[in-house]
Amino acid sequence: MTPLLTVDNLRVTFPRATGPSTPVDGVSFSIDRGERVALVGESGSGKSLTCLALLRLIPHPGVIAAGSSIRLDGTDVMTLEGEALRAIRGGRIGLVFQDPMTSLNPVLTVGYQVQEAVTAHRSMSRAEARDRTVALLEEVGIPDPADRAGAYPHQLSGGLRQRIMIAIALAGEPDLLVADEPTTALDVTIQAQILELLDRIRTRRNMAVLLITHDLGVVAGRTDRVMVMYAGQLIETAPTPRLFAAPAHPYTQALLQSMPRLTGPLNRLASIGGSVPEPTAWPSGCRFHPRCARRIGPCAAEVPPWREAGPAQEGRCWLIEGQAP
Amino acid sequence: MIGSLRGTVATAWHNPSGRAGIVVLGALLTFALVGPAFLPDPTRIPSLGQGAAAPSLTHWLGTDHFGRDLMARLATGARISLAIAMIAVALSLSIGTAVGLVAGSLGGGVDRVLMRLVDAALAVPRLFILLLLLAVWERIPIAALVAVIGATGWFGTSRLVRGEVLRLKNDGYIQAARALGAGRARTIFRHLLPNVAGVILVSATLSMGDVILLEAGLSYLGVGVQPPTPSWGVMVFDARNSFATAPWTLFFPGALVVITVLATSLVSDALRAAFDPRSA
Amino acid sequence: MTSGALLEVADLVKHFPQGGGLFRSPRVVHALNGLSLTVAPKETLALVGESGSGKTTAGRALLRLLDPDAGTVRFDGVDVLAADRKTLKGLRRRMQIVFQDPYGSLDPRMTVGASVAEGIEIHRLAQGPEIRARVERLLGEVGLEPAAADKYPHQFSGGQRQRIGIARALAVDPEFVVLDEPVSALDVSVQAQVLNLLLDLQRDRGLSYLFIAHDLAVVRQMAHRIAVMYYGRIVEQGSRDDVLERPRHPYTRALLSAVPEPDPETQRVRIVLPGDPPSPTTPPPGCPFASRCYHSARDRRCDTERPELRSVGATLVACHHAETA
Repeated sequence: MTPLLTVDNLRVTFPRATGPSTPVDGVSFSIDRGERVALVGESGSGKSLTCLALLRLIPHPGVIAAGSSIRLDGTDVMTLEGEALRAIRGGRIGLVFQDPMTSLNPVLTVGYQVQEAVTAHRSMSRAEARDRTVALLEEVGIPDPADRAGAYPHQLSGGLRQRIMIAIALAGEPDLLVADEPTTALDVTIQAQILELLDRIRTRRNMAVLLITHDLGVVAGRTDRVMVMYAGQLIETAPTPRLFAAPAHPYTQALLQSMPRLTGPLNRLASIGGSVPEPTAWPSGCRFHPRCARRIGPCAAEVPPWREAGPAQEGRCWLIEGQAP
Repeated sequence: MIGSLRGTVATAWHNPSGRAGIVVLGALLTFALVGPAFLPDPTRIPSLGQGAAAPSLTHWLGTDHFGRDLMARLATGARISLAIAMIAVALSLSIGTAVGLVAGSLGGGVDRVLMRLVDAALAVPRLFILLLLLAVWERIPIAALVAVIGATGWFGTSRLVRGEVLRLKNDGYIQAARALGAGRARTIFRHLLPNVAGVILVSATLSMGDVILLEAGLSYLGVGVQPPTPSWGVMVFDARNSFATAPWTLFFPGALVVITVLATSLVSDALRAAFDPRSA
Repeated sequence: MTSGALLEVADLVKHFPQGGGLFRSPRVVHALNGLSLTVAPKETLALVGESGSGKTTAGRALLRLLDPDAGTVRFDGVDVLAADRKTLKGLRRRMQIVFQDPYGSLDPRMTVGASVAEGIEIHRLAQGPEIRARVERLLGEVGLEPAAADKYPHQFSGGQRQRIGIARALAVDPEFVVLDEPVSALDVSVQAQVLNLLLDLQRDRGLSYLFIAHDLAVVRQMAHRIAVMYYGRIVEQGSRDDVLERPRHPYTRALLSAVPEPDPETQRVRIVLPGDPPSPTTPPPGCPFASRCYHSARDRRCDTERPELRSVGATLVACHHAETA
């Protein structure tokens, strides 16, 4: 079966006075139909730009570099223009952003905004559009949907606003839902609601989900596969249980060790020294080498190859002994 | 921040458009300060009924309809217009900033009273207030004109500054300063003032143009600078009857007003950027 | 009330008028509805709650950065809320705060050295070149180079800026520091560094902390005692282990179960709370948690009578049915 989405050698560049910076630098991955994939990284890792690139929404003056390839179900997204591109945005790929307050228009009712998304990709009668809107609001768990459709964004709580955003993303009946830090701005008890909702919708619609997050905790038990991003590149990908049980890359290992936990022995946290590098000055060789505790000979100078580290597990590190996949 | 004033100007100088603005303003000031010494008496009318002469070798920018040398009038006019504008703007900015800072940082009743007064003042057209005040004087001294323009120009600035202060007041560093035991004066002068400087500069640019044009308008109505003393405004309105036949009488003073306003805005943009260490 | 407490807060109330105008009376936001707590010398009390629980207001009110409507705050026996200007200035040398947002909490127009020196100047703790020496010593203590003093905040990463904020607070040699979500804006890999630094400083300087947080896993790392806030009051309070391992209040349990753990192996029962906390402008007559409560013994009393904080088992709990599991 061909994957739903294939990204190959994706590079995003921004012109700078001091020469171009490349916040996303050679990212390749694929997502199958109905698969739940997480893209995990810290701020500045390039994870959000990667997801915007899927919809060709890179903010000015950034560009997707030549040689990057994005294919959705066989269609070359890079060559699409106009109507065909709009059919992807909010159509075949739905997008949910981090901040539901700034992503909704404050002067329009939430019902209007959902309905706008419903009619954007499909022509239908007003009554039909309204029924469809109410059905969507119901699907995302808005209480009294017909009533709440008349509310303005500021009249709803953060959790309800995020549900509206999800309804808008679902309006185009997407094959892939991209959720960029959908729960970061929310409280933990509300976060639990939203994650559960996303799970339920995915199962019912059998769509693929790409969850972008900085929090490995959110990923556990909710995704099939995790991709870890650092300094503009993927550095490891593995089935979720495998990633937690036997992370291959020293960055993933350190990240897991530095996370405070609720259970288990209470020790001083292992921390990663230094800070996340800037896209204007990626380190040479392996980009993690200046902060890596397990650095060896070639790390500073030579870029490690992408290699197989275990069953369905691949990574970019000189310590990984496996074959090229 | 005060200590780095020279550094701030140096940074503004490194910005190309800032440098252009500084050069133009410098040239205008030099023209105003040095020009009159080398040019004919701007108020002397050579002989009646001579009419306006086009630019020539004797009168580089031509003469007005009284036959007075236009360049000489522009130079003396620059002294008067620029002096009025700068002093009046400085006055209104100081009052506006002080009121805005006090209202914003004290809040409560003080803020409510001050802002209601400002709202009331803003509701009355400035020209109307000015005309009312100026009607009292027969021939108004320039110092009084400056004071009156300055005293009626700070309402908008005070609103802008207050808004900015309210926005900044809950920022962590203002709270941190309070938590460290900083008094009101320290909070205002060390933290609030430098951080509202950008807004004040924008306000200064806008008022500069306003004041030059306002002075022109008042002079036209006969309540501003009194003829035969030239100001750019007086000259623009002197040209009202002759500009069809002698367009240079309108063009040169008009162009100087526009150039001054533009140059001020370039300099203030550059200064605003230079004040902000993040843009370095 | 524990004798020998450094900080004693009793029945703190703070209501904010919100909205309103010339012809409309403002609504009232009930941020603190009678908060009581104590912090012993060299102890960390964690104040845990979600947004709107009043935890941030509590931190500011007990430092008198905003004026509470009622209640008392005593620091080392001195009445903070009644203190005159001179006494208050003296107290501010002894009680400090570190803010959440590492970007907004430093004056962008002041060098780092000037920011750190501010407290030293205000309290005249040093003169002339001795100020600079102290600033450099403080920067060293939080793990920064002396040269950092001459740079501006924007030249530092989030983690480094948080270290600067800590150095500024420590400049006046305080005994007690309010840590207002000090790591929640930081990347995971940097979070551990800052938590470890705070623990080291507490050990070396004998500091007392009020650690305001929403993340229970982080709190477990830091706290000796934990107080859980909901709707402007404490609903459960006790030692770290008692609260985390034997929680009695249904809200504490839900909060614990909602913490995303980076470990797919721990099969925990996830309690997903329905809805949102009650609106802060319309306090419910009974238990504020009743609208979301899933407790099997929940009855009419919960809707009519507000439960007081009382001792049940090892912790203090504000629940009518704390005895029934």
